Amino acid sequence: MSTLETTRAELGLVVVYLNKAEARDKICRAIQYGSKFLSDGQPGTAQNVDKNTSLARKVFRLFKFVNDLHALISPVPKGTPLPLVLLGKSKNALLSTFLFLDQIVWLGRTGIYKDKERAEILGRISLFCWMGSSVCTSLVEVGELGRLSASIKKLEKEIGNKDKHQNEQYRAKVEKSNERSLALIKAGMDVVVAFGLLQLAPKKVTPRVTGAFGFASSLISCYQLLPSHPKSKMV
Amino acid sequence: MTTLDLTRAELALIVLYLNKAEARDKICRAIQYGSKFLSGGQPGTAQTVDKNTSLARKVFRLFKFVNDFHGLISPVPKGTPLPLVLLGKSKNALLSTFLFLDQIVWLGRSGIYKNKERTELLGRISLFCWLGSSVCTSAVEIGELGRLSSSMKKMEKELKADDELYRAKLQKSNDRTLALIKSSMDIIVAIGLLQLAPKTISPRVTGAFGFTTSLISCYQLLPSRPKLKTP
Repeated sequence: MSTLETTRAELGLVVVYLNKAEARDKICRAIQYGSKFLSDGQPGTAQNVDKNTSLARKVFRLFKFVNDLHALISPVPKGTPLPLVLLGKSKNALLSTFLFLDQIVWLGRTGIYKDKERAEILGRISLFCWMGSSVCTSLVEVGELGRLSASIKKLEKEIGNKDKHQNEQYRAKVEKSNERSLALIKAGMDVVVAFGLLQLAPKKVTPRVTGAFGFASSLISCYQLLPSHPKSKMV
Repeated sequence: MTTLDLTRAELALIVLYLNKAEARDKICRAIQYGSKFLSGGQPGTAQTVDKNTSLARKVFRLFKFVNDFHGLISPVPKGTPLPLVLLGKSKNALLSTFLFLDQIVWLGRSGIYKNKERTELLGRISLFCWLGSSVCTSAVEIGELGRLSSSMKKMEKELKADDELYRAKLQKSNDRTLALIKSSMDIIVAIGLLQLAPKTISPRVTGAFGFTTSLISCYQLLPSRPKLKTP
């Protein structure tokens, strides 16, 4: 009975994870960019999967612009410096615009919206918005990492180097700083992906490079969405 | 500021709703069957939307068979009669099989799995599983409604009709009635998709029933149901 119960508990965690729309979206994103990597922009099965999954994600993200619109009008944590607040809000505005325009791109791809040319232009604008939002996210993460490292140094001085790993507050800050470093890496990679999708540097950022970076950033997203982060207890 | 606060609270509810994978799936299902209704099975934009959304839902449901597999091996509430337990477990097993086979159908449609003929066959088998699971759900709901109504009659005799428990049972009974309506309509959708009665259940009829059941699902997923406070 106990093995059955363990399986059940483990499956329960998988179910909770997969019930999140965001987790499913990022798994599909991994499939999308994974096949972009495999196809390298050449026609074939892999490109088919890339295109189909891209379209599938668009229909599943209808109305998702509401998410960032909500974040845009929500208050920020107290004590956040004004430049970081402005960057964060710009990120929300850009991401929300991207998701809104992406809906029209979907309408164009499925043939509901007939003006193909305008759909293409809106698609490009939407990608520029997404690139802008990734740049903003990177800057926010750099700024927040700077603030965190300053406060970590201050704490080290106060409690001394020996006992710092026993300090709850210190450990929480280090944990937070690790999370933000990962988010910075992801946002930086997504800037490269946006460059690739917009074909701004087609010689360097080929579909294969775009696919590789997109796949890696999708896996990072999947990891970030895991219900409870593995705590760094065994160091 | 108060209007902004209100908008924010309302938006938060929408965000919470749309963050559920199930809610997004059912919205897409409404789009899928809505366009099936509009197309009536004829080529055109509506049919393209129907097919694209159907394929999109398949990729978003990868690994979803785990959900019903988990339901299959989880314990049932105590006091459930054996026939209802068996029907409920059959439903889980059938739905899980449907979702598992549906993954292979996706592999076939996207060209990863090359055997078109076998894909079609597995697609049909998966739809039969879905049909079976809808039949099981209907039977379970009928059984549970019977149990609820007999326990409510008993309470009425004991003059406990104002009781909190009685009202909860009434609410439960309404929920189950809606679920019964939904699963019976889904049987018709499955018959339509399998083209078992192509003359009576045309793509248009299938679309209409599928659209309705999708809307019912969307309603069932709303975070807090409107309580029966005003009689």
